Amino acid sequence: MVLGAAALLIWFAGAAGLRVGRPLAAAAGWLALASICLLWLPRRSLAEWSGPSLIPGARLILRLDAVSFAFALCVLIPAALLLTFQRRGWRESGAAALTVAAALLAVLADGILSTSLFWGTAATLLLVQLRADHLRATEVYWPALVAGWLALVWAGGALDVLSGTAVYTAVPVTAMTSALFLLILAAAMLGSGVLPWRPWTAEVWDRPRLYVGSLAVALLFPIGFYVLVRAYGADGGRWPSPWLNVLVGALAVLIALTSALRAQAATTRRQFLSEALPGLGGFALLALAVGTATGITAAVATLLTAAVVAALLPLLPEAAESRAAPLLLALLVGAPPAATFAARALVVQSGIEAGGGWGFLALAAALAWLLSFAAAARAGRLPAVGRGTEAGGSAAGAGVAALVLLAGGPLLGWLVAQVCLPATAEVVTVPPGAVAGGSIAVLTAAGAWPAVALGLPLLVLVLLPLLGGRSPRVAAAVEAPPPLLSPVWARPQARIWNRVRALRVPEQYRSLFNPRALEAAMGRGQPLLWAVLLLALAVAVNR
Amino acid sequence: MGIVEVAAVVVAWLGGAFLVLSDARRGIALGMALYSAGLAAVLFTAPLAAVALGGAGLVGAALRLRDGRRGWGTLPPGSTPRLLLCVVAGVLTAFVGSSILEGPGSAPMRVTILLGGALGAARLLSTRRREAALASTAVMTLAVGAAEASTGGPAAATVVLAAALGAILLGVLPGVETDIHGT
Amino acid sequence: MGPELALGLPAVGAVLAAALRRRPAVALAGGGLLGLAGAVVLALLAVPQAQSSLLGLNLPAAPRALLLLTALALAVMVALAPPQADRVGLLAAGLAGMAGLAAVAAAPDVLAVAVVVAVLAAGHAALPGGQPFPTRMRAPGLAVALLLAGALLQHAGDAPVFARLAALSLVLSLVAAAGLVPFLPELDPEEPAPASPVAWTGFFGPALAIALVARMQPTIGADGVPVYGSLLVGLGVLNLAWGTVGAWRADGDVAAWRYSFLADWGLALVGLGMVVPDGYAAAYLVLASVLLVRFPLYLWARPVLLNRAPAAMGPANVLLAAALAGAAPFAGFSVRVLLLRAATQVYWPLALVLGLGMLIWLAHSFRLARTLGAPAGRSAVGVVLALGFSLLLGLAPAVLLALGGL
Repeated sequence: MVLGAAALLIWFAGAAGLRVGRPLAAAAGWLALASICLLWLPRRSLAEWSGPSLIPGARLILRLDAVSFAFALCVLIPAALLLTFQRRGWRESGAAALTVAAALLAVLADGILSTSLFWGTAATLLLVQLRADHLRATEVYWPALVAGWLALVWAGGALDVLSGTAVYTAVPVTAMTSALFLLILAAAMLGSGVLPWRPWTAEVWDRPRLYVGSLAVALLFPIGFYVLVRAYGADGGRWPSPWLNVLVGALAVLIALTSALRAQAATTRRQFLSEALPGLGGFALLALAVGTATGITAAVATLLTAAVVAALLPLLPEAAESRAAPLLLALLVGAPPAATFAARALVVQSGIEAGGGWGFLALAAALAWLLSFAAAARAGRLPAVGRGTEAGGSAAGAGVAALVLLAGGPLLGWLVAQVCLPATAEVVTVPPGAVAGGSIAVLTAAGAWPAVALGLPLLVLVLLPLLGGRSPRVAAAVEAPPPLLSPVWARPQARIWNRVRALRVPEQYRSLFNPRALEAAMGRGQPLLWAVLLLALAVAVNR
Repeated sequence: MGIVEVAAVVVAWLGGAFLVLSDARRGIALGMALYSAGLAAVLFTAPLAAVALGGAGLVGAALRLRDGRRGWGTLPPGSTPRLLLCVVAGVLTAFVGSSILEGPGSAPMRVTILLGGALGAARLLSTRRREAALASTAVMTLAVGAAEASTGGPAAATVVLAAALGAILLGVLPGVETDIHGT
Repeated sequence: MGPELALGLPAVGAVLAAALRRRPAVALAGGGLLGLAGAVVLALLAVPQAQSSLLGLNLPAAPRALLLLTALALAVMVALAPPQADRVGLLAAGLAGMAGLAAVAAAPDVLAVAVVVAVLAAGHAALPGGQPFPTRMRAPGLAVALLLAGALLQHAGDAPVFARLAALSLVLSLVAAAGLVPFLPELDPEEPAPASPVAWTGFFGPALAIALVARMQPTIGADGVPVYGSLLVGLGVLNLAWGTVGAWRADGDVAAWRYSFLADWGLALVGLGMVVPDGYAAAYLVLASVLLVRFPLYLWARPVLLNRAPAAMGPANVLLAAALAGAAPFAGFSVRVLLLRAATQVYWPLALVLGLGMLIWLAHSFRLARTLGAPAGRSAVGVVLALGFSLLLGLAPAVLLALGGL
């Protein structure tokens, strides 16, 4: 309501000549974040708001529980940061505030159909903003989002048919079949832009300006994961079949690896940065696939980290080299003590802890992590932006986001205790001693992990050179080394695509597939054509 | 099946044939009039329908004499396929109406209704002349009215009267194309 | 006398508007008032006491609600027509169509529908246009013949073959009456909007289809239902594919618009053919959105389509593209939920086919939205209204479905 009202206020004020869009939208973002914290944290009890009937048999109900609170944070933290530090006109600020409201409602929705409504609404509003700014990447963004959205709508409709409800917490265990889960998975992967090939979340970085694309990534990225987490709750704490966990785990590793490979072969720093979120998405997906309490906790922690990263990436200043740039690049790919390190470490730990084949998948993910370090080392020497793009960013905004990211590592124990573990407990049973978070450590079955003890000294070590050091020489002037692994996959990919595009119906058969000739025959009302059609149908229906 | 009914069916077929085989106003009007007369004769068990549909058909036929190409225009060169169509349609409708369909109404009534539908549709789908298209639509409308009278559906009288009125309205529409204007 | 008044008032309005053509203000006022009175009577027919009829007519809730929407669409289109448009002609044609559609809705059986379709289609084909009368009458003429055949076959005997053939005839008559594939009429891009086949498919078609289905479906016997359902679904998928691919690949923008109507109709036919409440509700919503959103937008796109204004792609056009693509929160949301739900109930692979069609749908929506140009003045108000209607159908479809007794 705060965000919606802000959008209206911004537009009315703007129409009246009062340009207060950006501060008002920023204030609304922070106020919404504060409101959701105030609503949830003191009481930590379930709250529901019932709305009107959407379609026959589906009512709009909003639900604030531990899961929706965690994901609301994933939406609102980057949104508030971006609305505060990115430059937007009053029209764009109003639209952005409204979009944040829609994305927030998507993760507060209690059923698949309601989520799909608000998710689709956010995607539509973002499309308008993206197209108003520039065409580039919308041709990837829109089909992916609509395909994902349709898959989710179908899944919701099918659940409704099979069990009489598509409400996450009311779906009977037997209703969630493997086929339905695959639909949800497809929706999540397409919508969140977590795919083994270059997804829309990376493509939007090719746009000349980042202020809309980055908002799209920040807002839509968590929603797909929200549905996947809820799928655990809808199916009694597990996905419909163990092989689905294995499939998703393998896919997740593939995503993390391909993302890291693309990142280390990037030609500009933006290209490198564009792979940060898909890579983290792969880690989050792997943790979710593990399916243990530690795994889901790690996934939520990774998503919270990804939310901060989504805000930090577009705020990194691109115009001039800052002395913090190499350090920030290292922190982004998971150097300690940042939250990116802590979250990734927890994911790998959850995989190894699960045993069996999961350990191998965790190791493969760790390999992707290592590759991204190579990518970060190289990215420091890459030009900041490519041709036809405008340098952007905000030093102050990047500073705030980086501090949050840095603080996230040492505070991981607290975060696990306050946000991640309650969300996990909402969807699966947490065995005693499986995972816990204290003020100084993360406790798992494999042992305690002293986040504060490890993180705080490192944090001091990181901040010291920043505060007192001299500015480094401009690294981008030095030519970047070749990629560790050259992108051999690009050429065959292009060749296959060209071959597909070159496919034609042979000349002698073209008349058989000529819709225009058929249409002309229809339009002229050839009685013979219609008589043959009627006869053929009459025979067909009586066979 | 009485001789009068058979004669009525033949007259209706002749009307349909004239409609299909004529390209000018007199031939078309005669076709419509003959069909209406035949239809009215087979509908003698439903006098209201017979009078309404027969009368409307005759009025429609008279109205068709107002415009369109002058003369009879019957059996112009290249009419052989149309002639064949009339013969085949006559034989087929007679067979289907009397031997295959068990209802509605009497066999002559069914055959006459089928003739109106088949020959009217055949003419409408193959002609490029507006007056012929209007007349064949009117013939189909009369056949529909007769079908309603024979099935005795709810509010049959209203539908029969509507069909009669429709046939007259189709006769009122001009038989020449108007110019394009507007957006 | 309610049904008679609902039918007669717009008819008188049409005659009055046509007669006073030379004095546009008076024609618009007179015709408009009579049309409004007709719409009020239609609305009052919801009260059982108002339904008594001298001629034994009755207007069921579903076609009545769609008729009300037709009246609303007509009012919006006449009030907010582009400056070059012949508003009196539009009103006269629309009111005549309203009267015809009221007659179709009040028709007691399929034969009565055939009579009204014959007269209504002839009236429409007689409007000055680019194609000759016989060409424009072919598809509706065939519909009349098929309705006649269907009705005769329904009374032909007890053998299942008659029921199946009757179902076949009636389904094909519906498709032919609406002017869909495989009975697609020829299109002349320069043709005036009221006389074009797009107006027939977009304005007259929806209420006609719902009225026809209301009369046709209860009379189809148990043997005919499988034929009825499968044929409607098959033709629906054919129209969906033809429409989406056609709108994407068409050479001209007018043709693209026409194909987009086919795509909508494809969804509607599939919804009707599934013979489950969700499918029917989806079809009802699709047809309502054709009436209230797609057809008015087509009218407002005419200046660009006729090269009298430049095409444009502003934020409003993008929003329109999303609405035309069926994205949330517009009408497409509720339609897609209901259709996919119905398809899952009936035969799940159908949902996959529909999903693919809905995805290909995206390809043409931007192309169509461009043709709205940069809406200003009356067109801008119209575009906002169309978006508002679409939003209403997407977020509160239950209101319309309740109005239609669904």
